Amino acid sequence: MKGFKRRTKAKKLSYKSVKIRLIIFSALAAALLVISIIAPLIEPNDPYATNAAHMRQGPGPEFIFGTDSLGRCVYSRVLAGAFTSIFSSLFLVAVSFFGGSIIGLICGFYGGIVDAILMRITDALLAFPQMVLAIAVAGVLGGNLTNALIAIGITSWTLYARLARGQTYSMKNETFIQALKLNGVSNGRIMFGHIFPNIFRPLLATACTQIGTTMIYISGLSFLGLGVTPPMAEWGSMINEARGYIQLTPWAVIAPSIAMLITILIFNFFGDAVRDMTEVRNER
Amino acid sequence: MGKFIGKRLLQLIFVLFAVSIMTFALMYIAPGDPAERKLTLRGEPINAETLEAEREKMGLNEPFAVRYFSWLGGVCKGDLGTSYADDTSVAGKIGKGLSYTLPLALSSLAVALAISLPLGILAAVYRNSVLDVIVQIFSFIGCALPNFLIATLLIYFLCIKQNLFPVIADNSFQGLVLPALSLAIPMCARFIKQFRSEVIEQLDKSYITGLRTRGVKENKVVFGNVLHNSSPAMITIAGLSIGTLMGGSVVIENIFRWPGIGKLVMDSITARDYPVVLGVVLVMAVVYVFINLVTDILYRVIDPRIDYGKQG
Amino acid sequence: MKDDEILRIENLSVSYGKNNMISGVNFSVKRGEILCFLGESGCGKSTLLKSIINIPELATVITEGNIYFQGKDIMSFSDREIRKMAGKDIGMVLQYLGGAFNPLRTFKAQFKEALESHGMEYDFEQVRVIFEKMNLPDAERIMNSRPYEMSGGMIQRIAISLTMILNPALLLCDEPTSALDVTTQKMAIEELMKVREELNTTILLVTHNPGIPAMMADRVGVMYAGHLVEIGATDKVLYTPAHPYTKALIKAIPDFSFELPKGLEGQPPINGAEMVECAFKERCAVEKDGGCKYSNNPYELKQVSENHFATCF
Repeated sequence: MKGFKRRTKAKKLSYKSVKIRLIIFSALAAALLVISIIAPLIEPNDPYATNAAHMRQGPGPEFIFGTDSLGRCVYSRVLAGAFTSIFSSLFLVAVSFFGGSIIGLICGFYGGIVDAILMRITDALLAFPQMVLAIAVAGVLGGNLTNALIAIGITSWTLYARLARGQTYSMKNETFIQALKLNGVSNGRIMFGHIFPNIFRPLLATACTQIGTTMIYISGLSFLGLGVTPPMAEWGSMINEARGYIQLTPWAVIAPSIAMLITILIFNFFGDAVRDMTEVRNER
Repeated sequence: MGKFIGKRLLQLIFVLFAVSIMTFALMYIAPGDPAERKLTLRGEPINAETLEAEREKMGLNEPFAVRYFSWLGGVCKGDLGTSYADDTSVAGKIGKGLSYTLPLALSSLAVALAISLPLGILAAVYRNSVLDVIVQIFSFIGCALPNFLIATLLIYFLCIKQNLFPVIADNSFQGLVLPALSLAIPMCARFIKQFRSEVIEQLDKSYITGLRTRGVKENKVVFGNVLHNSSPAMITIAGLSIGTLMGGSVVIENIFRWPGIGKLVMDSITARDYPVVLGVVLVMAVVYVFINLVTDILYRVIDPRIDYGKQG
Repeated sequence: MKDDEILRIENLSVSYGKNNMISGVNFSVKRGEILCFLGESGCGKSTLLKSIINIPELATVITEGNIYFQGKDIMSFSDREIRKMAGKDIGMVLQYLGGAFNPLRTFKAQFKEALESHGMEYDFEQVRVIFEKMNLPDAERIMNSRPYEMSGGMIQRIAISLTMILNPALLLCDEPTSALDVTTQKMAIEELMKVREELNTTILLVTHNPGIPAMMADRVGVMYAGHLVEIGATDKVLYTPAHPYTKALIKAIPDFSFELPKGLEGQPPINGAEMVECAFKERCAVEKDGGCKYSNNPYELKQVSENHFATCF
C-alpha cells in the first residue's frame, strides 16, 4: 500500500471489539460477585475474631495479608468486606435505577403538575453537591449502612428520573404509542409494556456506569465513620481503622486499598463496555 | 441573552428557596431533642425545667413554618444562627473555615486543570499514540481511586517512608501540597477522560475538514477552533466538579486535619451541633448553585445556538 | 509533460481503508481548463476529487498510481506541505452544507484565519466585491455573523467566495451548486467561469446534473462504478456519447418533451472498482444484444475521435 502514515478519522467502535470487552469484564465482574458470595467459605480465618497473640503480624503463610492491630486476619476481612462493598453498591444502584426510572416514566408520560413538581424537586436536589448532602444526611441520621444508603440514594435517583422522563417525553408522541392509545390500551400497559422496554437499555447502561462511583461514595462515607458500624468488614472503614497504625501495619491499609482499586476498575470498565454496547447497537 | 439570564435568575430564586427548606428540614428530622443536645454540649444540668426553659428560648415550641421563616429571615441577613456548643456565630465559624477551604479547593482545581487540559488535548490530537495510551491508563486508574485512598497512600509513601511532608497539615505551603494533591488527582483523571472525548468529538466534526481544505495552520485548528468550540463543555465539566470537590474536601480536610469547613462540618456532626452543620451545607449549596449559574451563562456566551432552537 | 499541464493522474486507485472506491483512473488537465465529472452517486467522482487534495480528514487512501500537480508528485508531500498546498494551490468547495465553517465563530475570524495561514492579508473591500458578485448583500453584517445564523445556500456561496479569495491554481468543486436554488446556481456558475477567465484558474467539478457541464465545461468525464468510462470535449460527450452508460445517462435527463425520461434499470455494483470484467455488464443495452467488443480489456480508454475517448463504444 502506497501513501504515508496519516491520522485517520476516529475509528467507530466495532461491534466485535466491544462485544469482547463486554464479555471479559462481565466475566470479571461476575467472578467478583461469586467471590464475595462464597467469601464465608473461602476465608481462611474468622474475619471478626480478635486475637491478642497475633496482633500486627506481617504477611506470612498463616495470614496471607497479615493481621491488623486487633489481631484479625486482613485477608479474611478483605474477602468479607467484598460482600458489603459490592452488594451495597449494587443494591443502591438497582433501587435508584428502578425507582428513578419509574418516577421519570410516570412524570414524562402524564406531564402536567406532577411532572413540574418532580422537575423542581430534582432541580433542588441537584443544587446540593451530592457528597456534601450525603455526609450531612448520614451524619444527622446517625452512621450506619442503611442511613448511608438513604443519604446517597436521596440524590442518586434523580439521574434516572431525568433520563427516563426525557426519553418518555419524546417517545409518547410517536405514532405507535398514539395508535395504542387509540386502540384503548390502558396507560399503565403503554408505560410499562411498551415505553419502558424501549427506554430500558440506555437507562441500564447509565446504571452500570454508576456502580463504581457509588462504591466510591459508600466507602467514602464508611471511611468518615458514617457508613458501616465497626467491627463490620467494609473496605472504606477498614482503611480508616488501619490508617492510624499505617506505620506498624501498612498491609492492613494496602490490602483493602488494592482490592478496592481492582473492584472499582473492573466495574468501571464493565460500565463503559455496557454503555458502548448500547451505542454500537443503536448504530447497527 | 438578557431574557435567558432573567429566566435563569428566577429559577435560581426558586432553587435557593427549595434548598433552604430542604436544609432546614434536615435538622428537623434529626433524632433527639435539640434543647437537650444544647444543654449536653454546654455541660449544663438537664431536667424538665431547664429543658422547657431552653425549648422556649430556642423557639422549639413554635410550628415548623414559624421556625423556618424566622431562620430564613436571619439567613437573608447573613445570620446563620449560633453554635450549640459555644454560642459563637455560625457565620463566623464558616468564614474562618472558608479561609482555609478556599485556598485548598482552588489550588487543587488549578493543579487538576493545569495537568488535565494539556494532557487531554494532546491525547485527543495524538489519539492512539503512546502518549494517549499512557494518559488513558493514568486516567482509568485515577477514576477508580477514591480520594481518601489517595490521601492515605500519599501519607504512607511521602510522609512516613520518605518524610517529605508533614502528616498533619500545618498552614504552610508544604502542608497544603498533600491535601491539594489528594483532591486534584481523581479530579484530574476525570477531567482528562472528559476533555479528551470532548476534543475528539470536535476533531471529527465536519468543519475541521473545511479548515483543512483551506490549509489552516494546525495550531489555529486546535487552539482557535477545537478549543473554542469545546470550551463550553469544558467549563461545564469544571463547574460541576466543584460539587465533587466540596464533598472531597470534607474527607480530605479530616484526614489532614486541615481546619476548613469540611473539618468543621464533620466535627459538628460528631458533636451533633446542628446549626453549624446546617450552615455549612447551606453555604456549600448556595456557592454551588451560583457556580452553576455562572457556567450556564458562560456556555451561552460562547455557544448561543440554543437561543435559536437547538440545531447542529 | 506538456508545459500547460497542471494536473496529471496516472492509473489512480483510491480506497477509504478497505476496498477500492475508484481504480485505474487516467487523465490530465490543462491550466485554465474546466473539466466536469458526471455520474450517479456512489460512482467515485467525489472520491476522485478528495484524493487530489489528499488531506487526512477526508480519509482517502491512495492504493495505487500517481497524482502529479504542477509536475510534483503529491504522494511525496509531507503533512506540512499538504497543509501549505491546501487552499492556496488547490482549493476545494465541499459538498455538504455548513461543513466548511466552524458554526460558532464569525466569518470574519474564519476568513482572517485562512488568509493568515497562507501569509495573506484580510481585505474587507475584496470580500465585499466578491460577495456582491455572489449575490450576498451587506457583507459587513455577514462577516460579523456566525454560520449557524445562515441558511445552507448562503454558507455555500460564502465558502465559494473564500475559496476564490485564496485564489488557488486548481479549484476542486464537489457538487458546489446542489444546495443552491436555480437563480443562485446560475450566478455561482457564471462566477466560476469569470474566475477562470480572469485568473486562469483550473476547475475540476463534480456533479450529477448534466446541465452544468453543458453550460461551463471544456471537457466532460463520465464515471461509472469507480472507473472513468468516457472523457472528451463537452459537446462530443454530451451530444454524441460513445459509451453505452453515457448514452443511457443522457437519455435519463428529464426535459420538456412531456415524455418520461428513460431511466436506467438496476443499480451499479457495490464493488465495481474491484471488478475485472465490465462493471456495467448487467445493465448494458449492447451486452444484452450480445454485441460486446471489449470484454477482455473493459477499462482501457480508446480513442473515439479527436479529443474523445471511451472504454467502450
